[in-house]
Amino acid sequence: MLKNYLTVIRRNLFKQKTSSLINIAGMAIAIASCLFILLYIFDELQFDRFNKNEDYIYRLVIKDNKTGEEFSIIPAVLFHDLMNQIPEFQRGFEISRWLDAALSYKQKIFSENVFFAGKDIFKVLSFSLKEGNPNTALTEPLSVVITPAISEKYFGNENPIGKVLKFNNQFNFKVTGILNEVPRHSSLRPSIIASMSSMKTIDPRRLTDIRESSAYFYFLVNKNASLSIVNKKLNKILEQKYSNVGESPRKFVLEPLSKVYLYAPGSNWEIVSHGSIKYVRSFAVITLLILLMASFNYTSLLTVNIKVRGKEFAVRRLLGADRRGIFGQFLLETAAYLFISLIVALVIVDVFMNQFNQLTGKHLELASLLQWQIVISIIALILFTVAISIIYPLIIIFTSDLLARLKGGLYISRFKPAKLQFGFRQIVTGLQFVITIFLIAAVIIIYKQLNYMLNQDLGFNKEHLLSIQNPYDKDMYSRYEELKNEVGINPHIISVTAGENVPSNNINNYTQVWIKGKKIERGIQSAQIAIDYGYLKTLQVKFIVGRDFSRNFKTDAGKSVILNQAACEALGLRNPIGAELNGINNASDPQTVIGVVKNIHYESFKEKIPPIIYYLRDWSAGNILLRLKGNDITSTMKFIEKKWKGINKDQPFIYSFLDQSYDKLYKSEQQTGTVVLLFCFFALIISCIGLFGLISLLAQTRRKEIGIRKVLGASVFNSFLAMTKEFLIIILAANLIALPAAYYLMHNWLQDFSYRININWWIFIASGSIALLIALAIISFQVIRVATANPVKSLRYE
Amino acid sequence: MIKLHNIEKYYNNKIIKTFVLRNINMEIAEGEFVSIMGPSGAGKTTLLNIIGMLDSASEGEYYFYDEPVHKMNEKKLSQLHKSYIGFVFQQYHLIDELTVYENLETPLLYQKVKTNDRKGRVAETLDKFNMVAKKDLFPNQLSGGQQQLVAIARAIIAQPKLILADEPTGNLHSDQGKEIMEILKALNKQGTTIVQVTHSETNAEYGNRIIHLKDGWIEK
Repeated sequence: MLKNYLTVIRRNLFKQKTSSLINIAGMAIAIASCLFILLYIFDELQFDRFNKNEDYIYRLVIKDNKTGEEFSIIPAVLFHDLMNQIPEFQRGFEISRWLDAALSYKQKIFSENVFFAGKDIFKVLSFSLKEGNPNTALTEPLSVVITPAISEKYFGNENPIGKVLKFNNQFNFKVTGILNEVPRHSSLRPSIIASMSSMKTIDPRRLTDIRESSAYFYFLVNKNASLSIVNKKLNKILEQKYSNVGESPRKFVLEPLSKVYLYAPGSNWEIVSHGSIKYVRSFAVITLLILLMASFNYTSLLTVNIKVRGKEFAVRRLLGADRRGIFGQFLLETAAYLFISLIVALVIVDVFMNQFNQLTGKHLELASLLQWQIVISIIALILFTVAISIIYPLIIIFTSDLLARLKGGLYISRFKPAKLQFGFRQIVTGLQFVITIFLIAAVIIIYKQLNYMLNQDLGFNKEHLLSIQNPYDKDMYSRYEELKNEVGINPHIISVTAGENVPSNNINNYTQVWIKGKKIERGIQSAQIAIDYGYLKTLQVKFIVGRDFSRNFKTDAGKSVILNQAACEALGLRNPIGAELNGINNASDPQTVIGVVKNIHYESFKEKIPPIIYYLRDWSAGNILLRLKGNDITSTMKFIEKKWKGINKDQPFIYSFLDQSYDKLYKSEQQTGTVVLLFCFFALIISCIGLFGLISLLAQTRRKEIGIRKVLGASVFNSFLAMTKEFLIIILAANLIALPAAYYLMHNWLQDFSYRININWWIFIASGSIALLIALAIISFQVIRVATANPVKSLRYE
Repeated sequence: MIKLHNIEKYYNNKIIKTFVLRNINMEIAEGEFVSIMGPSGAGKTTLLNIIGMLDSASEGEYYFYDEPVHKMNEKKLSQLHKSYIGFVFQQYHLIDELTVYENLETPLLYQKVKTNDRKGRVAETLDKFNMVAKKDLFPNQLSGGQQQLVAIARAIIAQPKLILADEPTGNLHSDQGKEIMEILKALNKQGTTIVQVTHSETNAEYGNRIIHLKDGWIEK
């Protein structure tokens, strides 16, 4: 029996080569897209699961009651209080990061991101040491563990244990262990971990001042502890701590480790690498849409052939097949069709895996599909597809009259024939249009947003801006001054200045600022950036009001600040010039506002530009900023490097061009956006294939009608109108459903971006019109084909 | 074998009932060869379809081997088709995607006949109908008469008790028609009950009883 069925399937497949090919290609593209998306989603969900105690590890998150903002950077001083006072915390560690530290060993010097962590990090997370004792490696101050790659970079083939790495040319760290590379699916990605206790020596304020938010807390909670009780205890302790220093109330929540990667709050403060649950959800929606459409396409393929097939099924029924037999045959056919598509899809996935990995920055492989969760998902999705695909044809076959099917007039059903047929097909067509219109709108909006991000006004001129890293130590300012004097004479250099942060760096210095005379609780969290004279001018930032720092005003150094627009708005200053602010840089005296500049983007567009306060200080020299003329950059660079080496033999020459740093900053954002766009586009293509199938079906069922009309003297255009009329109503109705849905979903999607496009009404008009145009094009094609054919042909049968 | 009692068939068209069959009472015994004749629209095919359980009567009772067909469900009906009834149609109704051999094999597959037995019976039937050379051809590679031969072969291969033939020779020229009728007659001689619908007096003569229908009534 099976062989008999398979024979029919095979012969049908080859009989209609083109339609089989189109349909299998469509289905294969759909399945391949789904496989890619599944791989991507599961990879995202995989993060931090490698930890043995994953279910009991939590990270502390703060919610600002006032602004609703979430962040997880916390004053390190609180850690031991929490550990000591909450018995449910079995273990825990605090971790913070020092960006761009200069590490050196003998002549070798490089810029590194150094993590500082509490000694129990290896007991909470499943990081492991290749060498060294995990219990003691991070106990002593000034001890450090490094990965083999880092070890090779500094020590070559020598055994690093016991050797000393110099930190910012000042502190000697002893290597106490070799850290195995952290698993790919770890959201924390350190390659150098120093002991937290080292902070006592390097920057003791970080460990003692509650206003210094610099660490992230991870806790391993007892297995039978109640989270809500722990949360209550936490809030009680912390409320008290904060109210002692008069800070605004916040809420503290323990966030499960498994959620950290996907749900981590904004990267302004973030220490972990993170994905976005938004994208995971977008992808899931796209997968379902793609499969839904692929199913519709299959349905219309079946329906196109159903007159013929219906007859076959009727004959089989006379020869003794019962409903179960026919159902089985149907199922088998669908399964065979899906199986072939699945094979083709696997080939597609294999071939394009590299490109996909490049696009997403992941390391996926075909074999990852064999994870049981993915296998189950694939099976579930295929069952879903099969179910959706065969419902309609089965209903037709089982409700239509056996005799009618034998005669080939399948559509005469026992139950109110015309009505059932009308409703069902119209709904399927309508749904297909709804999805198509929605996708067109989505593609336009995503494309616009990506484009907007690329061409966003940064607030400053990023061309030919060179930033040189100046290690943070006692000589930094003199080093900067010396370089400035040396290179200032070069005609290719327009200006030289310095700042604690330059755009594209993360801002890591935040403080509570309030207007003099008002309560501290009424203040705001603001970034503070120490700069040197000429910083704002070199960046070419526009002043809204007031003036730049100037050596002509003695009070500028130490007493004056410049705000960005966001800070001005957050503080609610109507007349900012002359306003006095407390809390900046822990100064006891209030500082006077002398100017307000336009907002500039330091970080990703996803983040809202924070309030920023600029002030003059000599530790601003962390980044030396040069504006070059833009001609003869190579020799200018050589000139600058020579001068740098002449001044500091033991400091690395680490530089970056800001335009390149920006490209890097937005790369991941763009990548993910591009992937979403790509899959939306695939979905759109598949849905167009589907529309083609549906309209062809309609044209076929109306072949006879068009033939008769032609014999009676109708023109091709008349036939076209007759067919178009039916679709116009459906498309109109589909617009009414699709456009509000698109508005709602895309509006939600855009909320993720702090700087986003407005959804214009024209996008919706365009989406509707494009769908209409696609439909009209297909209808014309089909009508012309049928109408120009000899009517005798279409009338001969029946 | 077949008992029809007060069979009526009508279609409801808004308010008007359109009658196709009126008050049909008839019996067909095993071994008979019955021809149903009548002008177009007399209801011949409808009657044959009701006998073949492809269509149901609007009113009346139908007993097949004393079992009430009018009360049976779909599953039972398909059971009866499978084991008792073979159909021959004017349009042959072969499965286009299957070869002659595979077409003949299909009813046996549905009856779950064992492989060896099945092969034997298909070979025997092919032999009987002189179609061994054509066994790998598809229906559209055969002439109309040959297709009808295959259809009859397929109808009898499952050894049905009853063969229902709806204008079996309608699409054939007279020589071919004659051949088909001879085969049916031979089958009848071997004990198969046959009911045929036909326009042709000549063909009707092959049977041993003729029922005349007119406007849905049986003419006495």
